Amino acid sequence: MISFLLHLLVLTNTYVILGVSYNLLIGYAGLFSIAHAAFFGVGAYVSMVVVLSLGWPYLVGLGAAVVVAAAVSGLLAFPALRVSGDYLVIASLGFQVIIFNVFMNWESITGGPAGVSRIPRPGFLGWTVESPLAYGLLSCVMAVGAYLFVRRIVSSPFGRVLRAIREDEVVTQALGKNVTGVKVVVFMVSGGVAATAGSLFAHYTTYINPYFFTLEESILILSVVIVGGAGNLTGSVLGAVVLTLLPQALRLVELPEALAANLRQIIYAALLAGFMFFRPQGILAERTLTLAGKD
Amino acid sequence: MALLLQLLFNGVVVGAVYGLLAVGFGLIFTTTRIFHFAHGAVYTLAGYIVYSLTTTLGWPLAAGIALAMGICGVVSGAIEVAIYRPLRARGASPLVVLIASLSILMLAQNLLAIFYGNEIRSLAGAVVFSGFEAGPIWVTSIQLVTIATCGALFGLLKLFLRYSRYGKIIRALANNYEAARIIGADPDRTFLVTFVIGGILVVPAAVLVGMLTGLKPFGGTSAVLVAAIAVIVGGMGSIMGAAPGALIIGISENLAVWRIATEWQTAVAFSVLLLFIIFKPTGFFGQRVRKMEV
Repeated sequence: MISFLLHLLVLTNTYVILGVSYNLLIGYAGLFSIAHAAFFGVGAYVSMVVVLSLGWPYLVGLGAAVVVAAAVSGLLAFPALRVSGDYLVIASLGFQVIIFNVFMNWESITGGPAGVSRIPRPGFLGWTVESPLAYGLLSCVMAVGAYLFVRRIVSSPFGRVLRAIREDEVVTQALGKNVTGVKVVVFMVSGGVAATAGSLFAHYTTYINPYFFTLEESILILSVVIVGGAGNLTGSVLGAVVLTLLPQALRLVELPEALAANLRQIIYAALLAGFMFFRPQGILAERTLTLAGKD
Repeated sequence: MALLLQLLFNGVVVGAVYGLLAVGFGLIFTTTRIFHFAHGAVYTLAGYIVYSLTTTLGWPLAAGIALAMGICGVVSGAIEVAIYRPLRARGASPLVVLIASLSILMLAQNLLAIFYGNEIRSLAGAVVFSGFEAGPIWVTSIQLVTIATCGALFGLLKLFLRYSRYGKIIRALANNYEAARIIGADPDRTFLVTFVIGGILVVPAAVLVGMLTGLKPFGGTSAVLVAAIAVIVGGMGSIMGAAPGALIIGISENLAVWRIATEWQTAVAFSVLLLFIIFKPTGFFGQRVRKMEV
Protein backbone atom coordinates (compact mmCIF):
# COMPACT_ATOMS: atom_id res chain seq x y z
CA MET A 1 0.00 0.00 0.00
CA ILE A 2 2.75 2.41 0.99
CA SER A 3 4.75 1.56 -2.10
CA PHE A 4 1.64 2.12 -4.24
CA LEU A 5 1.16 5.57 -2.70
CA LEU A 6 4.83 6.31 -3.35
CA HIS A 7 4.30 5.16 -6.95
CA LEU A 8 1.45 7.65 -7.28
CA LEU A 9 3.69 10.32 -5.77
CA VAL A 10 6.39 9.75 -8.40
CA LEU A 11 3.76 9.76 -11.15
CA THR A 12 2.17 12.95 -9.84
CA ASN A 13 5.54 14.66 -9.54
CA THR A 14 6.35 13.70 -13.14
CA TYR A 15 3.16 15.44 -14.28
CA VAL A 16 3.85 18.42 -12.01
CA ILE A 17 7.14 18.96 -13.88
CA LEU A 18 5.43 18.48 -17.24
CA GLY A 19 2.52 20.70 -16.21
CA VAL A 20 4.52 23.69 -14.97
CA SER A 21 6.92 23.58 -17.95
CA TYR A 22 4.01 23.37 -20.40
CA ASN A 23 2.13 26.11 -18.57
CA LEU A 24 5.11 28.38 -19.15
CA LEU A 25 4.61 27.91 -22.88
CA ILE A 26 0.83 27.94 -23.33
CA GLY A 27 -0.35 29.71 -20.18
CA TYR A 28 2.19 32.50 -19.85
CA ALA A 29 3.61 32.95 -23.35
CA GLY A 30 0.33 32.03 -25.07
CA LEU A 31 2.18 29.83 -27.56
CA PHE A 32 -0.36 27.12 -28.13
CA SER A 33 1.69 24.10 -29.09
CA ILE A 34 0.59 20.49 -28.52
CA ALA A 35 3.85 18.53 -28.53
CA HIS A 36 4.97 18.39 -24.93
CA ALA A 37 5.09 14.57 -24.82
CA ALA A 38 7.74 14.78 -27.55
CA PHE A 39 10.13 16.65 -25.23
CA PHE A 40 9.16 14.37 -22.35
CA GLY A 41 10.18 11.51 -24.66
CA VAL A 42 13.39 13.12 -25.90
CA GLY A 43 14.40 13.59 -22.26
CA ALA A 44 13.64 9.95 -21.46
CA TYR A 45 15.49 8.57 -24.48
CA VAL A 46 18.56 10.80 -24.22
CA SER A 47 18.93 10.08 -20.52
CA MET A 48 18.53 6.35 -21.24
CA VAL A 49 21.14 6.39 -24.02
CA VAL A 50 23.71 8.29 -21.97
CA VAL A 51 23.33 6.21 -18.81
CA LEU A 52 22.53 2.76 -20.24
CA SER A 53 24.29 2.67 -23.62
CA LEU A 54 27.25 4.91 -22.83
CA GLY A 55 27.48 4.01 -19.15
CA TRP A 56 27.98 7.56 -17.95
CA PRO A 57 26.77 8.87 -14.56
CA TYR A 58 23.13 9.76 -14.05
CA LEU A 59 23.69 13.50 -13.67
CA VAL A 60 25.43 13.59 -17.07
CA GLY A 61 22.40 11.81 -18.54
CA LEU A 62 20.04 14.30 -16.94
CA GLY A 63 22.11 17.21 -18.21
CA ALA A 64 22.33 15.78 -21.72
CA ALA A 65 18.56 15.19 -21.71
CA VAL A 66 17.93 18.84 -20.85
CA VAL A 67 20.37 20.15 -23.47
CA VAL A 68 19.12 17.95 -26.31
CA ALA A 69 15.42 18.51 -25.51
CA ALA A 70 16.01 22.27 -25.31
CA ALA A 71 17.70 22.18 -28.71
CA VAL A 72 14.89 20.08 -30.25
CA SER A 73 12.31 22.37 -28.69
CA GLY A 74 14.17 25.33 -30.14
CA LEU A 75 13.60 23.76 -33.58
CA LEU A 76 9.85 23.87 -32.99
CA ALA A 77 10.23 27.57 -32.28
CA PHE A 78 11.04 28.15 -35.97
CA PRO A 79 7.55 27.44 -37.30
CA ALA A 80 6.24 29.25 -34.21
CA LEU A 81 8.05 32.40 -35.30
CA ARG A 82 6.27 32.34 -38.64
CA VAL A 83 2.78 31.43 -37.54
CA SER A 84 0.55 31.41 -34.51
CA GLY A 85 -2.85 30.18 -33.38
CA ASP A 86 -4.33 27.34 -35.42
CA TYR A 87 -1.24 27.06 -37.62
CA LEU A 88 1.00 26.56 -34.61
CA VAL A 89 -1.32 23.87 -33.25
CA ILE A 90 -1.03 21.94 -36.49
CA ALA A 91 2.73 22.53 -36.83
CA SER A 92 3.30 21.30 -33.28
CA LEU A 93 1.08 18.25 -33.80
CA GLY A 94 3.17 17.52 -36.88
CA PHE A 95 6.30 17.90 -34.82
CA GLN A 96 4.90 15.50 -32.24
CA VAL A 97 4.18 12.90 -34.92
CA ILE A 98 7.63 13.25 -36.48
CA ILE A 99 9.38 12.80 -33.13
CA PHE A 100 7.19 9.78 -32.39
CA ASN A 101 8.25 8.35 -35.75
CA VAL A 102 11.89 8.89 -34.83
CA PHE A 103 11.38 6.94 -31.57
CA MET A 104 9.65 4.17 -33.51
CA ASN A 105 12.05 3.89 -36.43
CA TRP A 106 15.53 4.80 -35.25
CA GLU A 107 15.86 1.29 -33.92
CA SER A 108 19.62 1.19 -33.37
CA ILE A 109 19.28 3.90 -30.73
CA THR A 110 15.73 3.71 -29.41
CA GLY A 111 15.00 0.00 -29.73
CA GLY A 112 12.01 0.74 -31.98
CA PRO A 113 8.46 -0.22 -30.95
CA ALA A 114 9.77 -2.89 -28.55
CA GLY A 115 11.41 -0.19 -26.45
CA VAL A 116 14.36 -0.42 -24.08
CA SER A 117 14.36 -2.18 -20.72
CA ARG A 118 16.78 -2.49 -17.81
CA ILE A 119 17.45 1.23 -17.59
CA PRO A 120 19.53 1.66 -14.40
CA ARG A 121 18.22 3.54 -11.38
CA PRO A 122 19.84 6.95 -10.88
CA GLY A 123 23.09 6.93 -8.95
CA PHE A 124 24.76 9.88 -7.25
CA LEU A 125 28.43 9.42 -6.32
CA GLY A 126 28.13 5.73 -5.62
CA TRP A 127 24.73 5.97 -3.93
CA THR A 128 21.87 4.48 -5.97
CA VAL A 129 18.27 5.62 -5.64
CA GLU A 130 16.61 2.22 -5.36
CA SER A 131 13.87 2.07 -2.72
CA PRO A 132 10.39 3.48 -3.45
CA LEU A 133 10.83 5.96 -0.60
CA ALA A 134 14.12 7.28 -1.96
CA TYR A 135 12.63 7.60 -5.42
CA GLY A 136 9.61 9.39 -4.03
CA LEU A 137 11.92 11.89 -2.35
CA LEU A 138 14.01 12.33 -5.50
CA SER A 139 10.85 13.01 -7.51
CA CYS A 140 9.75 15.57 -4.91
CA VAL A 141 13.10 17.34 -5.10
CA MET A 142 12.92 17.48 -8.90
CA ALA A 143 9.28 18.61 -8.95
CA VAL A 144 9.86 21.34 -6.36
CA GLY A 145 12.98 22.37 -8.26
CA ALA A 146 11.06 22.62 -11.54
CA TYR A 147 8.23 24.52 -9.85
CA LEU A 148 10.53 27.07 -8.22
CA PHE A 149 12.55 27.45 -11.42
CA VAL A 150 9.46 28.17 -13.53
CA ARG A 151 8.01 30.44 -10.84
CA ARG A 152 11.26 32.40 -10.78
CA ILE A 153 11.00 32.84 -14.55
CA VAL A 154 7.38 33.96 -14.65
CA SER A 155 7.81 36.47 -11.83
CA SER A 156 10.91 37.97 -13.44
CA PRO A 157 10.92 40.79 -16.00
CA PHE A 158 11.34 38.06 -18.62
CA GLY A 159 8.02 36.61 -17.41
CA ARG A 160 6.34 39.97 -17.87
CA VAL A 161 7.59 40.08 -21.47
CA LEU A 162 6.12 36.59 -21.98
CA ARG A 163 2.71 37.76 -20.83
CA ALA A 164 3.04 40.91 -22.89
CA ILE A 165 3.68 38.80 -26.00
CA ARG A 166 0.60 36.76 -25.21
CA GLU A 167 -1.55 39.86 -24.91
CA ASP A 168 -0.17 41.81 -27.86
CA GLU A 169 2.87 40.87 -29.86
CA VAL A 170 3.06 44.03 -31.91
CA VAL A 171 2.91 46.35 -28.90
CA THR A 172 5.61 44.31 -27.17
CA GLN A 173 7.81 44.61 -30.22
CA ALA A 174 7.12 48.32 -30.38
CA LEU A 175 8.35 48.61 -26.80
CA GLY A 176 11.69 47.34 -27.99
CA LYS A 177 11.45 43.78 -26.72
CA ASN A 178 13.09 41.05 -28.75
CA VAL A 179 9.97 38.98 -29.39
CA THR A 180 11.72 36.45 -31.63
CA GLY A 181 14.47 35.79 -29.12
CA VAL A 182 12.04 35.50 -26.22
CA LYS A 183 9.92 32.97 -28.10
CA VAL A 184 12.92 30.79 -28.93
CA VAL A 185 14.14 30.94 -25.32
CA VAL A 186 10.75 30.08 -23.84
CA PHE A 187 10.42 27.08 -26.16
CA MET A 188 13.89 25.90 -25.15
CA VAL A 189 13.31 26.35 -21.42
CA SER A 190 9.93 24.64 -21.56
CA GLY A 191 11.35 21.67 -23.51
CA GLY A 192 14.41 21.47 -21.26
CA VAL A 193 12.36 21.31 -18.06
CA ALA A 194 10.06 18.69 -19.62
CA ALA A 195 13.16 16.59 -20.31
CA THR A 196 13.90 16.34 -16.57
CA ALA A 197 10.48 14.69 -16.20
CA GLY A 198 11.43 12.31 -19.01
CA SER A 199 14.68 11.39 -17.29
CA LEU A 200 12.90 10.92 -13.94
CA PHE A 201 10.30 8.71 -15.61
CA ALA A 202 12.71 6.56 -17.67
CA HIS A 203 14.90 5.69 -14.70
CA TYR A 204 11.84 5.08 -12.53
CA THR A 205 9.97 2.63 -14.76
CA THR A 206 13.35 1.30 -16.04
CA TYR A 207 11.53 0.58 -19.31
CA ILE A 208 10.45 2.96 -22.06
CA ASN A 209 8.85 2.55 -25.47
CA PRO A 210 7.51 5.08 -27.98
CA TYR A 211 3.90 4.57 -26.89
CA PHE A 212 4.56 6.45 -23.65
CA PHE A 213 5.15 9.61 -25.70
CA THR A 214 2.22 9.77 -28.09
CA LEU A 215 -0.15 12.53 -29.11
CA GLU A 216 -2.57 11.23 -26.44
CA GLU A 217 0.11 11.87 -23.83
CA SER A 218 0.52 15.43 -25.13
CA ILE A 219 -3.22 15.90 -24.77
CA LEU A 220 -3.06 14.55 -21.22
CA ILE A 221 -0.38 17.14 -20.36
CA LEU A 222 -2.60 19.75 -21.99
CA SER A 223 -5.44 18.60 -19.72
CA VAL A 224 -3.20 19.00 -16.65
CA VAL A 225 -2.64 22.65 -17.52
CA ILE A 226 -6.17 23.42 -18.71
CA VAL A 227 -7.91 21.73 -15.77
CA GLY A 228 -5.56 23.33 -13.25
CA GLY A 229 -5.73 26.73 -14.88
CA ALA A 230 -3.55 28.19 -17.63
CA GLY A 231 -1.29 30.93 -16.34
CA ASN A 232 -1.39 29.65 -12.77
CA LEU A 233 1.46 27.41 -11.59
CA THR A 234 -0.30 26.20 -8.44
CA GLY A 235 -3.11 25.22 -10.79
CA SER A 236 -0.77 22.99 -12.77
CA VAL A 237 0.29 21.20 -9.57
CA LEU A 238 -3.37 20.73 -8.70
CA GLY A 239 -4.12 19.57 -12.25
CA ALA A 240 -1.34 16.99 -12.04
CA VAL A 241 -2.73 15.67 -8.76
CA VAL A 242 -6.31 15.49 -10.04
CA LEU A 243 -5.44 13.85 -13.36
CA THR A 244 -3.11 11.28 -11.81
CA LEU A 245 -5.48 10.30 -9.02
CA LEU A 246 -8.80 10.41 -10.86
CA PRO A 247 -8.16 7.42 -13.18
CA GLN A 248 -7.09 5.41 -10.11
CA ALA A 249 -10.80 5.17 -9.33
CA LEU A 250 -10.97 2.79 -12.30
CA ARG A 251 -8.84 0.36 -10.32
CA LEU A 252 -11.72 -0.19 -7.94
CA VAL A 253 -13.52 -2.15 -10.64
CA GLU A 254 -11.87 -5.06 -12.42
CA LEU A 255 -11.45 -4.14 -16.07
CA PRO A 256 -9.43 -5.58 -18.93
CA GLU A 257 -6.35 -3.41 -19.57
CA ALA A 258 -7.43 -2.30 -23.10
CA LEU A 259 -10.84 -1.21 -21.85
CA ALA A 260 -9.32 0.60 -18.88
CA ALA A 261 -7.01 2.51 -21.24
CA ASN A 262 -9.96 3.60 -23.37
CA LEU A 263 -11.94 4.60 -20.29
CA ARG A 264 -9.04 6.69 -19.00
CA GLN A 265 -8.94 8.57 -22.28
CA ILE A 266 -12.71 9.06 -22.10
CA ILE A 267 -12.40 10.51 -18.59
CA TYR A 268 -9.70 12.95 -19.74
CA ALA A 269 -11.71 13.95 -22.81
CA ALA A 270 -14.92 14.44 -20.83
CA LEU A 271 -13.05 16.52 -18.25
CA LEU A 272 -11.51 18.70 -20.96
CA ALA A 273 -14.85 19.21 -22.71
CA GLY A 274 -16.58 19.93 -19.40
CA PHE A 275 -14.01 22.53 -18.42
CA MET A 276 -14.23 24.21 -21.82
CA PHE A 277 -17.96 24.61 -21.30
CA PHE A 278 -18.23 25.50 -17.64
CA ARG A 279 -14.87 26.82 -16.50
CA PRO A 280 -12.47 27.53 -19.38
CA GLN A 281 -10.07 29.34 -17.02
CA GLY A 282 -9.50 26.10 -15.04
CA ILE A 283 -9.85 25.36 -11.33
CA LEU A 284 -7.48 28.16 -10.35
CA ALA A 285 -7.72 31.10 -12.70
CA GLU A 286 -4.74 33.29 -13.49
CA ARG A 287 -4.29 36.09 -10.98
CA THR A 288 -4.32 39.35 -12.80
CA LEU A 289 -3.55 42.80 -11.57
CA THR A 290 -6.27 45.36 -11.97
CA LEU A 291 -5.47 49.02 -11.82
CA ALA A 292 -7.18 50.99 -9.10
CA GLY A 293 -10.17 52.93 -10.34
CA LYS A 294 -10.63 50.68 -13.35
CA ASP A 295 -13.10 47.83 -13.44
CA MET B 1 10.68 4.61 -64.35
CA ALA B 2 7.66 2.31 -64.27
CA LEU B 3 7.96 2.24 -60.48
CA LEU B 4 8.00 6.00 -60.34
CA LEU B 5 4.86 6.23 -62.49
CA GLN B 6 3.16 3.62 -60.35
CA LEU B 7 4.00 5.52 -57.17
CA LEU B 8 2.81 8.74 -58.78
CA PHE B 9 -0.50 7.12 -59.70
CA ASN B 10 -0.92 5.61 -56.21
CA GLY B 11 -0.18 9.06 -54.83
CA VAL B 12 -2.93 10.60 -56.94
CA VAL B 13 -5.42 8.01 -55.67
CA VAL B 14 -4.49 8.58 -52.02
CA GLY B 15 -4.41 12.32 -52.62
CA ALA B 16 -7.95 12.21 -54.01
CA VAL B 17 -9.23 10.54 -50.83
CA TYR B 18 -7.34 13.02 -48.65
CA GLY B 19 -8.90 15.70 -50.82
CA LEU B 20 -12.44 14.67 -49.84
CA LEU B 21 -11.53 14.96 -46.19
CA ALA B 22 -9.62 18.16 -46.70
CA VAL B 23 -12.31 19.92 -48.72
CA GLY B 24 -14.91 19.18 -46.02
CA PHE B 25 -12.56 20.33 -43.29
CA GLY B 26 -11.51 23.36 -45.33
CA LEU B 27 -15.11 24.31 -46.11
CA ILE B 28 -15.91 24.30 -42.40
CA PHE B 29 -12.69 26.03 -41.40
CA THR B 30 -12.82 28.83 -43.98
CA THR B 31 -16.48 29.56 -43.28
CA THR B 32 -16.70 29.19 -39.52
CA ARG B 33 -13.03 29.64 -38.47
CA ILE B 34 -13.55 26.58 -36.26
CA PHE B 35 -10.62 24.17 -36.16
CA HIS B 36 -12.93 21.18 -36.41
CA PHE B 37 -10.89 18.28 -34.99
CA ALA B 38 -14.14 16.41 -34.44
CA HIS B 39 -14.27 16.05 -38.25
CA GLY B 40 -12.04 13.03 -37.58
CA ALA B 41 -14.66 11.66 -35.18
CA VAL B 42 -17.40 11.86 -37.82
CA TYR B 43 -15.02 10.25 -40.31
CA THR B 44 -14.27 7.30 -38.01
CA LEU B 45 -17.96 6.91 -37.22
CA ALA B 46 -18.78 6.88 -40.95
CA GLY B 47 -16.48 3.96 -41.64
CA TYR B 48 -17.91 1.87 -38.82
CA ILE B 49 -21.53 2.64 -39.72
CA VAL B 50 -20.92 1.38 -43.25
CA TYR B 51 -19.04 -1.60 -41.84
CA SER B 52 -21.91 -2.53 -39.53
CA LEU B 53 -24.57 -2.09 -42.19
CA THR B 54 -22.81 -4.01 -44.96
CA THR B 55 -20.79 -6.64 -43.12
CA THR B 56 -22.93 -7.31 -40.06
CA LEU B 57 -26.41 -6.63 -41.43
CA GLY B 58 -25.63 -7.60 -45.03
CA TRP B 59 -26.98 -4.45 -46.67
CA PRO B 60 -25.83 -3.59 -50.20
CA LEU B 61 -22.90 -1.16 -50.17
CA ALA B 62 -24.80 1.68 -51.85
CA ALA B 63 -27.61 1.54 -49.29
CA GLY B 64 -25.08 1.47 -46.45
CA ILE B 65 -23.28 4.51 -47.84
CA ALA B 66 -26.55 6.39 -48.32
CA LEU B 67 -27.72 5.81 -44.74
CA ALA B 68 -24.23 6.60 -43.38
CA MET B 69 -24.30 9.90 -45.30
CA GLY B 70 -27.59 10.76 -43.65
CA ILE B 71 -26.39 9.85 -40.16
CA CYS B 72 -23.04 11.60 -40.52
CA GLY B 73 -24.66 14.75 -41.89
CA VAL B 74 -26.91 14.81 -38.83
CA VAL B 75 -24.07 14.03 -36.38
CA SER B 76 -21.82 16.69 -37.87
CA GLY B 77 -24.65 19.23 -37.72
CA ALA B 78 -25.42 18.17 -34.14
CA ILE B 79 -21.81 18.88 -33.11
CA GLU B 80 -22.21 22.41 -34.44
CA VAL B 81 -25.57 22.94 -32.71
CA ALA B 82 -24.73 21.27 -29.40
CA ILE B 83 -21.06 22.23 -28.99
CA TYR B 84 -19.85 25.08 -31.17
CA ARG B 85 -22.97 27.24 -31.19
CA PRO B 86 -23.27 27.50 -27.37
CA LEU B 87 -19.53 28.15 -27.09
CA ARG B 88 -19.82 30.87 -29.73
CA ALA B 89 -22.77 32.39 -27.92
CA ARG B 90 -20.74 32.83 -24.75
CA GLY B 91 -17.85 34.33 -26.67
CA ALA B 92 -15.37 31.48 -26.15
CA SER B 93 -11.89 32.04 -27.58
CA PRO B 94 -10.85 30.01 -30.66
CA LEU B 95 -8.53 27.92 -28.49
CA VAL B 96 -11.35 26.98 -26.13
CA VAL B 97 -13.37 25.84 -29.15
CA LEU B 98 -10.35 23.94 -30.47
CA ILE B 99 -9.80 22.07 -27.19
CA ALA B 100 -13.51 21.25 -27.00
CA SER B 101 -13.33 19.86 -30.53
CA LEU B 102 -10.21 17.85 -29.71
CA SER B 103 -11.94 16.33 -26.70
CA ILE B 104 -14.95 15.33 -28.83
CA LEU B 105 -12.52 13.55 -31.17
CA MET B 106 -10.91 11.67 -28.25
CA LEU B 107 -14.25 10.83 -26.71
CA ALA B 108 -15.73 9.46 -29.94
CA GLN B 109 -12.67 7.45 -30.93
CA ASN B 110 -12.37 5.78 -27.54
CA LEU B 111 -16.08 4.96 -27.47
CA LEU B 112 -15.77 3.41 -30.94
CA ALA B 113 -12.66 1.52 -29.83
CA ILE B 114 -14.60 0.03 -26.90
CA PHE B 115 -17.48 -0.87 -29.19
CA TYR B 116 -15.58 -2.23 -32.19
CA GLY B 117 -12.25 -3.24 -30.65
CA ASN B 118 -8.79 -1.97 -31.50
CA GLU B 119 -8.08 -4.32 -34.41
CA ILE B 120 -8.28 -3.25 -38.05
CA ARG B 121 -11.58 -4.02 -39.80
CA SER B 122 -11.64 -4.26 -43.55
CA LEU B 123 -14.46 -3.17 -45.80
CA ALA B 124 -12.87 -4.98 -48.72
CA GLY B 125 -15.21 -7.96 -48.49
CA ALA B 126 -17.78 -6.08 -50.51
CA VAL B 127 -15.71 -5.41 -53.61
CA VAL B 128 -13.58 -7.38 -56.00
CA PHE B 129 -10.00 -6.21 -56.32
CA SER B 130 -9.65 -6.77 -60.04
CA GLY B 131 -7.10 -4.81 -61.97
CA PHE B 132 -5.45 -4.36 -65.35
CA GLU B 133 -2.25 -3.07 -66.85
CA ALA B 134 -2.38 0.43 -68.26
CA GLY B 135 0.95 0.86 -70.02
CA PRO B 136 3.69 0.46 -67.45
CA ILE B 137 1.46 0.66 -64.37
CA TRP B 138 -1.05 -1.59 -62.62
CA VAL B 139 -4.46 -0.09 -62.01
CA THR B 140 -7.12 -1.67 -59.77
CA SER B 141 -10.82 -1.08 -60.17
CA ILE B 142 -11.10 0.37 -56.68
CA GLN B 143 -8.49 2.98 -57.60
CA LEU B 144 -10.50 4.01 -60.64
CA VAL B 145 -13.69 4.16 -58.57
CA THR B 146 -11.83 6.32 -56.07
CA ILE B 147 -10.68 8.83 -58.66
CA ALA B 148 -14.09 8.96 -60.34
CA THR B 149 -15.97 9.40 -57.03
CA CYS B 150 -13.67 12.08 -55.76
CA GLY B 151 -13.65 13.94 -59.08
CA ALA B 152 -17.45 13.88 -59.24
CA LEU B 153 -17.83 15.09 -55.64
CA PHE B 154 -15.32 17.91 -56.13
CA GLY B 155 -17.27 18.98 -59.22
CA LEU B 156 -20.58 18.92 -57.37
CA LEU B 157 -19.20 20.91 -54.46
CA LYS B 158 -17.67 23.45 -56.81
CA LEU B 159 -21.05 23.89 -58.60
CA PHE B 160 -22.85 24.13 -55.25
CA LEU B 161 -20.51 26.84 -54.00
CA ARG B 162 -20.69 28.77 -57.25
CA TYR B 163 -24.36 28.69 -58.13
CA SER B 164 -26.56 27.73 -55.20
CA ARG B 165 -27.99 30.24 -52.76
CA TYR B 166 -26.22 28.72 -49.75
CA GLY B 167 -23.04 28.31 -51.73
CA LYS B 168 -22.99 32.03 -52.34
CA ILE B 169 -23.75 32.83 -48.70
CA ILE B 170 -20.98 30.45 -47.60
CA ARG B 171 -18.48 32.18 -49.85
CA ALA B 172 -19.64 35.58 -48.70
CA LEU B 173 -19.26 34.68 -45.02
CA ALA B 174 -15.88 33.08 -45.66
CA ASN B 175 -14.72 36.14 -47.57
CA ASN B 176 -15.89 38.84 -45.22
CA TYR B 177 -17.88 37.82 -42.19
CA GLU B 178 -18.97 41.28 -41.05
CA ALA B 179 -19.98 42.51 -44.49
CA ALA B 180 -21.94 39.32 -45.16
CA ARG B 181 -23.85 39.74 -41.93
CA ILE B 182 -24.69 43.35 -42.77
CA ILE B 183 -26.37 42.28 -45.98
CA GLY B 184 -28.41 39.70 -44.09
CA ALA B 185 -26.52 36.39 -44.12
CA ASP B 186 -27.54 34.19 -41.20
CA PRO B 187 -24.29 32.73 -39.82
CA ASP B 188 -25.88 30.12 -37.54
CA ARG B 189 -27.93 28.57 -40.32
CA THR B 190 -25.12 28.78 -42.89
CA PHE B 191 -22.60 27.25 -40.50
CA LEU B 192 -25.02 24.38 -39.95
CA VAL B 193 -25.17 23.83 -43.72
CA THR B 194 -21.37 23.67 -43.99
CA PHE B 195 -21.16 21.17 -41.12
CA VAL B 196 -23.82 18.95 -42.71
CA ILE B 197 -22.01 19.04 -46.06
CA GLY B 198 -18.69 18.29 -44.35
CA GLY B 199 -20.31 15.37 -42.53
CA ILE B 200 -21.72 13.94 -45.75
CA LEU B 201 -18.37 14.29 -47.56
CA VAL B 202 -16.44 12.18 -45.04
CA VAL B 203 -18.52 9.09 -45.82
CA PRO B 204 -17.07 8.33 -49.28
CA ALA B 205 -13.60 9.10 -47.90
CA ALA B 206 -14.10 6.73 -44.96
CA VAL B 207 -15.45 3.98 -47.24
CA LEU B 208 -12.59 4.33 -49.72
CA VAL B 209 -9.98 4.25 -46.94
CA GLY B 210 -11.82 1.29 -45.38
CA MET B 211 -11.42 -0.54 -48.68
CA LEU B 212 -7.85 0.55 -49.44
CA THR B 213 -6.30 0.09 -45.97
CA GLY B 214 -9.01 -0.88 -43.43
CA LEU B 215 -10.79 0.86 -40.55
CA LYS B 216 -9.05 1.71 -37.29
CA PRO B 217 -10.73 3.33 -34.27
CA PHE B 218 -7.96 5.92 -34.05
CA GLY B 219 -7.60 6.53 -37.80
CA GLY B 220 -9.58 9.74 -37.45
CA THR B 221 -6.75 11.63 -35.77
CA SER B 222 -4.29 11.20 -38.61
CA ALA B 223 -7.10 11.75 -41.13
CA VAL B 224 -8.05 15.11 -39.67
CA LEU B 225 -4.38 16.11 -39.36
CA VAL B 226 -3.79 15.31 -43.02
CA ALA B 227 -6.91 17.30 -43.88
CA ALA B 228 -5.66 20.27 -41.87
CA ILE B 229 -2.23 20.05 -43.50
CA ALA B 230 -3.84 19.96 -46.93
CA VAL B 231 -5.81 23.09 -46.08
CA ILE B 232 -2.62 24.89 -45.01
CA VAL B 233 -0.63 23.69 -48.03
CA GLY B 234 -3.51 24.60 -50.33
CA GLY B 235 -3.82 27.96 -48.68
CA MET B 236 -6.22 29.03 -45.98
CA GLY B 237 -9.01 31.15 -47.35
CA SER B 238 -9.37 29.14 -50.52
CA ILE B 239 -12.06 26.49 -50.03
CA MET B 240 -11.23 24.31 -53.03
CA GLY B 241 -7.49 24.91 -52.65
CA ALA B 242 -7.48 22.08 -50.13
CA ALA B 243 -7.96 19.58 -52.98
CA PRO B 244 -4.64 20.27 -54.77
CA GLY B 245 -3.06 20.58 -51.31
CA ALA B 246 -4.24 17.05 -50.53
CA LEU B 247 -2.96 15.84 -53.90
CA ILE B 248 0.51 17.22 -53.13
CA ILE B 249 0.55 15.37 -49.79
CA GLY B 250 -0.69 12.09 -51.28
CA ILE B 251 1.90 12.24 -54.07
CA SER B 252 4.81 13.24 -51.83
CA GLU B 253 3.95 10.49 -49.33
CA ASN B 254 4.03 7.91 -52.10
CA LEU B 255 7.01 9.25 -54.01
CA ALA B 256 8.95 9.29 -50.74
CA VAL B 257 8.68 5.49 -50.69
CA TRP B 258 10.91 5.50 -53.74
CA ARG B 259 13.88 6.77 -51.75
CA ILE B 260 13.16 6.27 -48.05
CA ALA B 261 11.79 3.37 -46.01
CA THR B 262 8.00 3.06 -45.74
CA GLU B 263 8.06 3.39 -41.93
CA TRP B 264 8.81 7.06 -42.37
CA GLN B 265 5.83 7.65 -44.66
CA THR B 266 3.63 9.21 -41.97
CA ALA B 267 6.35 11.71 -41.14
CA VAL B 268 6.48 12.90 -44.77
CA ALA B 269 3.17 14.78 -44.73
CA PHE B 270 4.23 16.66 -41.63
CA SER B 271 7.63 17.47 -43.06
CA VAL B 272 5.91 18.93 -46.13
CA LEU B 273 3.76 20.97 -43.75
CA LEU B 274 6.68 22.27 -41.69
CA LEU B 275 8.51 23.27 -44.88
CA PHE B 276 5.41 25.11 -46.09
CA ILE B 277 4.92 26.85 -42.77
CA ILE B 278 8.52 28.02 -42.65
CA PHE B 279 8.87 29.03 -46.30
CA LYS B 280 5.38 29.70 -47.63
CA PRO B 281 2.81 30.01 -44.84
CA THR B 282 0.12 31.32 -47.17
CA GLY B 283 0.09 28.04 -49.11
CA PHE B 284 -0.42 27.78 -52.86
CA PHE B 285 -3.76 29.43 -53.36
CA GLY B 286 -4.30 31.47 -50.21
CA GLN B 287 -4.44 35.19 -50.65
CA ARG B 288 -1.89 37.12 -48.65
CA VAL B 289 -3.90 37.91 -45.57
CA ARG B 290 -3.35 41.28 -44.05
CA LYS B 291 -4.34 41.31 -40.45
CA MET B 292 -6.26 44.41 -39.54
CA GLU B 293 -7.40 44.99 -36.04
CA VAL B 294 -9.19 47.95 -34.61
